[in-house]
Amino acid sequence: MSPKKSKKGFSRRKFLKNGLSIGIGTAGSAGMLSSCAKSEKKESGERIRVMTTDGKLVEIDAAQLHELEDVVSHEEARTGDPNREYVMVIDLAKCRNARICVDVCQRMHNLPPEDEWIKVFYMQDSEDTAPYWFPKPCFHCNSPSCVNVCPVGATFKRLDGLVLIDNERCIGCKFCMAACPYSSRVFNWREPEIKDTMKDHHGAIETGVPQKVGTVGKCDFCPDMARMGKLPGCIEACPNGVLYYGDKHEDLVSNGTETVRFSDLIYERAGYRYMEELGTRPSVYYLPPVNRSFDPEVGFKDLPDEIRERYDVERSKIKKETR
Amino acid sequence: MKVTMHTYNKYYRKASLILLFFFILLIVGHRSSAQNDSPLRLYLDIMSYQNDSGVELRSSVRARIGENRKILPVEGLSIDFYNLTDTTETLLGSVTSNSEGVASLFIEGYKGLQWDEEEGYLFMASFQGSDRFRKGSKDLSVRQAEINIGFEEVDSIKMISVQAFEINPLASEKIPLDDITVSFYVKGSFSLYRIGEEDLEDGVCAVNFPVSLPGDETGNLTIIAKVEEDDDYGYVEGSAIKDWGVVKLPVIPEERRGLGDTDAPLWMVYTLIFLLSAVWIHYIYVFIVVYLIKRDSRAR
Amino acid sequence: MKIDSATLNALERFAPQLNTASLLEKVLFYIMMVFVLAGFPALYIQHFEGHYVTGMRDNVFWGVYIVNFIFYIGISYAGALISGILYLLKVEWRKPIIRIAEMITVISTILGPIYILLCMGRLDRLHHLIIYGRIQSPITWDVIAITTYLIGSIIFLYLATIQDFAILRDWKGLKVGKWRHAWYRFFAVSYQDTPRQRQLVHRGLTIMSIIIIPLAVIVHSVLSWIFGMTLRPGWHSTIFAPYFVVAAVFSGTGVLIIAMWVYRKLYKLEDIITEKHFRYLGIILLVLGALYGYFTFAEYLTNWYGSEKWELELIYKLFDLNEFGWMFIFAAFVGVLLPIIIIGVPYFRSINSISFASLIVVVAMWVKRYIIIIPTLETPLLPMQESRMEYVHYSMTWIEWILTISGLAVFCLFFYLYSKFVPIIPVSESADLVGNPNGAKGKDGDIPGEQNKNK
Repeated sequence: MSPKKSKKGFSRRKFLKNGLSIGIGTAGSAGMLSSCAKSEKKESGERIRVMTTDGKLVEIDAAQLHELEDVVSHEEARTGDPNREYVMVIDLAKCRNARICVDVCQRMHNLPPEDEWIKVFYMQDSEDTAPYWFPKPCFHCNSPSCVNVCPVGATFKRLDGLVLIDNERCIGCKFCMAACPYSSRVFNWREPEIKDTMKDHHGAIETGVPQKVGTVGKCDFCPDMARMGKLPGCIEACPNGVLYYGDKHEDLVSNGTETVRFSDLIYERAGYRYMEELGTRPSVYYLPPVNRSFDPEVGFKDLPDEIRERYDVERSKIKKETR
Repeated sequence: MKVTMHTYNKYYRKASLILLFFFILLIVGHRSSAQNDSPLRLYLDIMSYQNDSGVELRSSVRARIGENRKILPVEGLSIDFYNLTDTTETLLGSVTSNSEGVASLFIEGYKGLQWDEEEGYLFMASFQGSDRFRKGSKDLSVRQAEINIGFEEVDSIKMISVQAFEINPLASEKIPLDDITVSFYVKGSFSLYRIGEEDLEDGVCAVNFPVSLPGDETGNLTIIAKVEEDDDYGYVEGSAIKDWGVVKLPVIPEERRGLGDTDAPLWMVYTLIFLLSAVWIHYIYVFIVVYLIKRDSRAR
Repeated sequence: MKIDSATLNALERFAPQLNTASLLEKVLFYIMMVFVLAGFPALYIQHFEGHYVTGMRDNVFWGVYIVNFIFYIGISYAGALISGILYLLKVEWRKPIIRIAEMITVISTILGPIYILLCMGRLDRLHHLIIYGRIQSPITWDVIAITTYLIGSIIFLYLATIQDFAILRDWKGLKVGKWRHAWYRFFAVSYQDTPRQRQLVHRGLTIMSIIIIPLAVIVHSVLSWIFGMTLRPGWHSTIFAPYFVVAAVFSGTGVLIIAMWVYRKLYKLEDIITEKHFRYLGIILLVLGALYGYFTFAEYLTNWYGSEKWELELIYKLFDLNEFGWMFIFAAFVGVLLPIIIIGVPYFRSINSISFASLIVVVAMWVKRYIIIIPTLETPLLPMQESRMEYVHYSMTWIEWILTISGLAVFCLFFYLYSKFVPIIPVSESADLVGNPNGAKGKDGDIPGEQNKNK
């Protein structure tokens, strides 16, 4: 028989119960507590919501997310680990265009708002098919057109499957942008504004921070986070667990809350790759939007006008079928 | 159930207590809003994570800060961990909370801890208070427990078996745990993959080994068995490695010549050399012609 | 070297070109200088503010600079065609115009890559192309091909000019500064017009004219593969290489005709560059126009007939009058049919009308390059929902306008300055074609200078 719990000072259950009544009480006195408290250490003033691996939604200072120093040699950063093969699975049934993945990625990599490394599209394949939200990071293709055409080898495919950009070598010819059929790449048309917290970053292939003017940038699957054993920022940020990430060699992918076997997930949910016929062999798999968690219209609620009008143009285009 | 005066009074007392509490809070909150800088209340909690090398005390600190007044983790606060007995309060260490508001202290081998027969180990995490945050503390009692993982093959079915004990450090006895759920995981690069969950019966339970999961070059998989969030034992974890997974031979990267590699395919190299030579040989010939023109004049 | 009387005659005729400038020339010179100088502040601004000052954004990331690049490299075919092929065929009437043709090649092969440099994000890393160059990339092919082609054209131009340098060096009657004499002496490499030297020059020219033809074909094919090797609608076409080659010859011939017309008027060369030249080149232009029209038709018919989603989206964008419709009509119909009619129908044929048709051709080819590049970039495979609304359509900013016009002015300016340095009609070859400048001109239909031949 296990020892029975005896009277304790302040058990967790009691705490919860009292906490509830405290909560009600403070809810009643809403608006009375001040909001000027700052944390003791440095902050960038920007707090973003991040979901932890326990599934809790926390807000942390944006500056803290990208503290990894450049710990790998240039050679290692260009080669990667041959025993890993990173893969991402995106569940289209759960996406509602919350765009938290976009925000977190932009904050982590110090990107201006017009540069999105992960993009969310509103797709409707044809007039009568149902629309869906389509988050699209870089596909890190296994036959990457962008790598083939780079004249200086500034973009390269690593042994662990990632396609990265060395923005010390890039000459800004933008040929990779022409070659990529998925519009994954963005260009730094002007000098990026570097936040004070990121000023001491000297830039490394694996962090992608800071970006350099006149060079190309794109989603990099956060290899610096992988070195810390952490999932990329967008994976952790998604409040609906849409994005899964993992190592194909281990056959495990995780969305920050649950971990599943990659092969099982693809088999059960009929995973596919986007535009397979182009032959680029992406590393990102999609799960079709069956048994959706949200109606696609939910994705338009509370959208800033500037973002909403981008989708409106496409929406009006889809409605009229050509010929 | 008959509603007696006794029960009625009990509820009435509870209700009025709550109401009174509410009013006090209203006044307190109102007053503290007048002074913007009054210290904020901290939500402090403490949890224990036990494994075979010791116990980790983890405290997470939050407060209601920011414009949305959501409950957010607070960084940079110094949390003191104590080991309590009826009479003493031993400071085990002070840790500053990190960016996620977590401060953790690892006590190796349960060394130097006082143990109480009834309550087990009594720990307390406290914050001494500062200009911004009020002081707070929380305590926790934890009984020492241990999980041992073993592997056995029963009727050619590979199983993971677990033995879980509570440990009485003074008497060095091991009491098998009962009726507690153990979750089984395989360790992945980024997360833990859950492979099963069983209740302990007489301190023992077992689950099938995931033989279809790929391991490393010898098929090694790291199995983790956890008791999660138990009232008496907190989190208890045990791990072991076994090579019953699918063997995944290491990939030896070979030098490749292709469109996407550093080195071009050989036929491309040869074609380029051929074409360039064909053209430049003619240029060199023309340079020679010009030189000959000059030399011809000098000869005359 | 001994200068015979016919050559002296020609030299005296051309002397004013070399050391004086008429009022018209002065005015044109100053206008061009203004436009050239206007380019410098634009360059400065672009360098310091970044490419953000252009109209290029993440969707249309190759804009008018690349259009200009393709256009100028396309024009450069003039030299290869006229000088190279006609030299090998030993056609007599090519003689007055070869230098004009070769100069077009050299200047445009220099100017074109300058536009590429304007489009590159990091000019400070240009050397990476050499130390890290990957030969799997079409851009590397392009760099190698264009450099080789430029050097080849310069060699060809030089070889064809050696004799004239020698003549200018030895002509006592030339009234130019001492430094110019020094240059002539340097470039003439002690050419004394001995039979052996003449033979060497002839051999060099033959070799170069043989080499330059496949070289030009390679250059334009490689240029087209920068687009052809991508997976975009309108670009991933198998006939892009021959299409670009034909378009290049077409536009090159057009520029040649315009240049001929300009020099004819400017230096009063009516008896040397005659209606015959315009007619023959016009017929070449007509044939090429038909060929180019054929390629265009085949390309768009195939794309329209098939049902592929993005190809059709692009085609409808090209046919839509609100989008690129007018430009498409101008480039594909007006630019092809008008010259064919003007030149093909003898009634319409005249020097001025042929030149006007060439002007239409050249402008239409610029518009055609624009039509190849910009609409495809505005039709990506994934909807353009990630960028701001104002970035969806491309429009040129004032910086791009200025730099385009400035580039054109640079082209004209350098061409003009060259014609002041060396006579634009090769004196050594066409001395006997030069008639008496004070006497009657030959009738239309005559090969000029025939009436002066003693044989």
